Amino acid sequence: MTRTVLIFTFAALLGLVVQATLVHSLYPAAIAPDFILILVVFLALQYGNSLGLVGAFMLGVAADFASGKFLGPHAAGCIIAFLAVILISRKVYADHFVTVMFLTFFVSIVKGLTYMVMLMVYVRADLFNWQIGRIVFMESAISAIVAPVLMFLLAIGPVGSRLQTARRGLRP
Amino acid sequence: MADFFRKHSLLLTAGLLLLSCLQLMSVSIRNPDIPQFGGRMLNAVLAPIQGAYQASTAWARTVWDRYLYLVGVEEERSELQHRIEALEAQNSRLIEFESENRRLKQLLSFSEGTGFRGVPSTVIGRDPSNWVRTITIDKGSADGLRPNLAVVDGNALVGQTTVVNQHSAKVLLVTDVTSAVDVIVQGNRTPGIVEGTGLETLRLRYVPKEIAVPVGGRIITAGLGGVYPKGLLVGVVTHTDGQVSGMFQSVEIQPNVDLLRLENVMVIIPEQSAPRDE
Repeated sequence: MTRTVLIFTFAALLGLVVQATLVHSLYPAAIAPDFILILVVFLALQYGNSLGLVGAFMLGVAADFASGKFLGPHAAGCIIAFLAVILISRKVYADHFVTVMFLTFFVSIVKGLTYMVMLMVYVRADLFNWQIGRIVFMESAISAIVAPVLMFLLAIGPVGSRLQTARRGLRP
Repeated sequence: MADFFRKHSLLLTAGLLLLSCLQLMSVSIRNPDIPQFGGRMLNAVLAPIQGAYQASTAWARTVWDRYLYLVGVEEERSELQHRIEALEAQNSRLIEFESENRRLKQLLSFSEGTGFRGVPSTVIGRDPSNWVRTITIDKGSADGLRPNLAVVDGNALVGQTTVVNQHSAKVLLVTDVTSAVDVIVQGNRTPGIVEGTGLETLRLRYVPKEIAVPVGGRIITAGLGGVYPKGLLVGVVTHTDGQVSGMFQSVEIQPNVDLLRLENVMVIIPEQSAPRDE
């Protein structure tokens, strides 16, 4: 358990560094993939319970802290995204990489809209326009492309092997 | 009852956490110090990694440019030789202009002491989210920085410092949706407030429809509010629309600096708050 938390904390920090540094140094105007959201989707698919939800909330709070401006919008987006993944994954087979891509794309849009709604309620009502919508779409598309690779890396790592052991009903 | 809670534990947890988010948002708007404190802690972890990455990429770029990528160096050398000759001719004219400028300044009793000092800084990172427009710079409280200091590139406004660590600081760009700057239109001195749109443009608000704001007009800081000194160039008017509903017109502004490609910026510190040199 502690090991899984540590791995997710490390992955979240690494994701924040890559989003904040590497992506922009490759191309300044680039829209970075939302690594925190991808971790939330992974959490929801592998730990679809209250504990996983708390983990998603903590990842959202970390993203809020990274911005240092408001607490809550990213966290709320992560919670809604987590619930959306659970709802969808109960209806469709979500293990295939194409399904994961579509799932990530959809919940990323949901997260982006939740974030915007929070800002519109608390900061400024006239915030949303088509250009902001374009950023939501682009971020979702890029996150969807990156998601299967990142999830594969997480799944073959220590977290994945422990999960497979737990799924087979064996003692980890 | 226990069964109900067990069965709906996920939804109940989600409801509680969402309420916590709303509460956190309310608290963080009332007390900006709380998210800034958390931001400082996280930034203390992230900034050294960002700084190290920035330094290593700069080193790799230097090695590549100076020692490996030498295609066309001979042609470039010859071209540069011609440019040196042209610049030497230009330089002698500039020396004349400089002396003339000095004489005119003396005539106008131009004060050299502006009451501010600048701290040159390098941009080492950007906000991880695509929704918040901030940059991280490599100077912090150890260099005399504190929150709410103006940051410029040349004479163009970039933003203001928010979260300040010992050796790094976050700068809220003028394009962020939460940014607001008191400004005046340079030509007709019309006051207004420039707000960020979250994109690459700005919006000038609270300018009555009766007042003409020319396309191409320069927008400068008004010097109100105590953060930004007066006269910093914010941007240029690119579009106006008087047909919108309400008392005020819609004015779009293009920042005078490419905020996506910032590499070096200057933090402006009022002289009286600057730490004394040891």
